[in-house]
Amino acid sequence: MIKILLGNWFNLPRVGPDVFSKLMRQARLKYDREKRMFLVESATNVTVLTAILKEALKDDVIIELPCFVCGKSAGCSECEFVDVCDRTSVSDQCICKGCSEEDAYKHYCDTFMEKLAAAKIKI
Amino acid sequence: MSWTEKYRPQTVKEMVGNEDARITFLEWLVNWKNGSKPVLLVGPPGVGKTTLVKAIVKELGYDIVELNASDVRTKENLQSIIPPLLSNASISGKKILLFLDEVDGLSGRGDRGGFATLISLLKEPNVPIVLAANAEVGEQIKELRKVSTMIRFKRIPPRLLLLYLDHVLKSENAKMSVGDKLRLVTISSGDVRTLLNESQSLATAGFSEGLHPVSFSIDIDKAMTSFFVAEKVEDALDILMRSEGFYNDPRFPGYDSEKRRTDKLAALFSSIVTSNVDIERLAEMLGALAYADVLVGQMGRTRQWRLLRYIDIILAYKLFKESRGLAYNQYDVPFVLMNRVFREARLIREIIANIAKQLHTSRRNAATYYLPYLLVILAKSKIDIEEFLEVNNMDSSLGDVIKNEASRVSKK
Repeated sequence: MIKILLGNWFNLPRVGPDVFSKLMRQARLKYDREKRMFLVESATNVTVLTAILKEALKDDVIIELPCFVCGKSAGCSECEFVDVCDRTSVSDQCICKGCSEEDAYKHYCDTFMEKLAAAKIKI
Repeated sequence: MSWTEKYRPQTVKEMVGNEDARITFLEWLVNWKNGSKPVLLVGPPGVGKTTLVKAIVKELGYDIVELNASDVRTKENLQSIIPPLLSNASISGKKILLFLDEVDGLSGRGDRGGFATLISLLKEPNVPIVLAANAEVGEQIKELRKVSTMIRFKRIPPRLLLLYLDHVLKSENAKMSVGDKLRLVTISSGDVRTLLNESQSLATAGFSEGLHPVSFSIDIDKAMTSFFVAEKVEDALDILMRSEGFYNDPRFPGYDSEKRRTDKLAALFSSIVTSNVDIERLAEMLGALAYADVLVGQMGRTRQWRLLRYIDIILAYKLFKESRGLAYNQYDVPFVLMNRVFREARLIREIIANIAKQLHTSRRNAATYYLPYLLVILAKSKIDIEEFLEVNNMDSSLGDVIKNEASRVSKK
């Protein structure tokens, strides 16, 4: 089973030039030649990506969303919405169980402001 | 007040989901300078495209000029509206942002040069221009992508929807079972607007269309009767919205009698025209119906079916005052009249076809310009109709119809 945590660099076993080309052109996956790692970007078509990898590697591909607040995996496989959440079509970040407790909405909003500050955007 | 408006985020940080898209959009607007490419926000409905634009312009001190692309779709409209906006400052002295929503509603040929005009207007913008579309596919979007920077919006993950729902329920001091909350989030399919509408229905009225679809609608007869006796306009609106009736697409009139019966506009029309009200009230109500009918037609032509929901609001508010005390009546045209319409219309069409053939003109022209004069001539002169039919190779069965029509014309 291959787990891909969106927004994080990940490794893949050797897939050959044809599959690599498909990953770059059709799925629009980002590749870092120095690190030899891949990254799912906003332009990446996650549905196409999972289909290509499933066929090439003959293995299940699990997409995990990161938690917007703490940055760790949101724990999609244990989530109450695991059966109804199409992680290939929802926006790329969620919130983990731990960060969904008391005052979760406030923490979520504050985190957004922190990320804006980190990106040096002033409003 | 609807929760979708009450809880529409006023600042960009209050929104949920599409975090990177929001940051990218902010970055674009903060760093915008003359000549910067417009931005194209693409994503399904209810994920926050419009809310984001409205919240950010408020925070950054812009005046927003919002246009629905499908309303200003022709070349003439676009040229008369957009260039003056691009060259003038806001009267309040604030900076202007032009927001063109639903650009995927524009289409090449149907817009009579509108799309090509839009593309040319987008090339050298001197104010920030934001375009929004629901779908990423199509030739138009492909062209727009060449002259703009695209930012994708996706559906909101269920857990973030739940987070927002909890926030709204807390602010409303409303209680909801965990099961209902999970079901509401599930049926909302990543759409915040649907989530809030369904939640408000469940929290305030005790039902949600999505959770209880079967018990929601009311039979058209009961709905119309209840509509006319409702004491408050809000109740009248609720009844119209819950009615099993629909709005007929005027382009496809071939519905069976059962479907025609459930056409809300037809049901209201038949009740109004058969009521015993004075001419001013009648005119007021028929005016409201005509207005709604035109809008339904426009929504059909522009395929904006989702706007049909607003017809209920228009009808409820425009008809409420004048229609108190009316009763539902399903009007039928008398059989004698219908029989004549069906039988004679076929024969008259045959006569028109013959005239058109002999005069080398279209059937439309034959019916509009030639037939009335022909009937006057036949009525005023002493031409024998049977002889006229024979000379013109027309069937003798048409004689009675021509005689009838000619005598009607001569009476006028």
